[in-house]
Amino acid sequence: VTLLLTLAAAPLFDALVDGFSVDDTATWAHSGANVSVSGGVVTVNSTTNGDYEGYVTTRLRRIAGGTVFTPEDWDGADPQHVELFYSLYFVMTGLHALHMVIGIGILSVLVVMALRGRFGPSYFTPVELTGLYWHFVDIIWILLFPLLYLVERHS
Amino acid sequence: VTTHVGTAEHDTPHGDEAVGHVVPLPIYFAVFVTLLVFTGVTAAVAFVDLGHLNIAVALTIAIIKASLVLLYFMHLRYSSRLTLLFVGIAFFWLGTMIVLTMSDVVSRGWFGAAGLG
Repeated sequence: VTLLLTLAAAPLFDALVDGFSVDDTATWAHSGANVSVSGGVVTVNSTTNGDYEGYVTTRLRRIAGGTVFTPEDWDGADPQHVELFYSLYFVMTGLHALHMVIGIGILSVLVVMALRGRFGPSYFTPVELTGLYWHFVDIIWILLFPLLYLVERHS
Repeated sequence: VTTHVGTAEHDTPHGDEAVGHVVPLPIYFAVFVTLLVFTGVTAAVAFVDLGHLNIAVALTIAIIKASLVLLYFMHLRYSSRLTLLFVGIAFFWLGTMIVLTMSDVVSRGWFGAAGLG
């Protein structure tokens, strides 16, 4: 179990940061916009008047709730650029979230197996493989986080 | 309750047959803390205007963090050269996709399209 906790320690922080994307989806669902998914492409439409900028800005402020990740100045951005960004944003964070849900399932099974004393010095391959998978997911987020949340932050 | 496992008494730090390399916990925690520090640094640097260097710094830090995860959490540092080779091949393949895609992105607009002057 100690080994499992160690394995989970590093991605745990990432999981907390991932809360952002989960919040995103929840906020999105309640904000009165349409998100249509077709062929892996997320299309964003405002229900009101196609006011992407106002919509996205409002939504971002709602999501971030005034935290350090609030974009200061999204106003005036090219709507098509905003749409392109969020298409990529939701596909990338969504796919990453799917990997994490799968990982959480595998880790849960592993914890039960460990508690039943299934692993020892002579048999631990599932622990090793799960660790590899979990850290692969970890590395994805290490790269996605700066690319999605830190770009153009200074401007 | 400890159950005696037959191979245990033969284990040495390099007893690769049975247990592989067991990484000491302090190393795991040290790497974990280092990763947290780098996360703080990359978030802080993002608010400093470095022009085009911002993305370079962010990606450099991200690659260092990914390397730490690969080397210690994924045991690459203690793995065979064959494993290292396969990891290298995988990243080379990933690199070809990124380079070819970026070559398209970067060279857009260098030449006019046919019929558009």
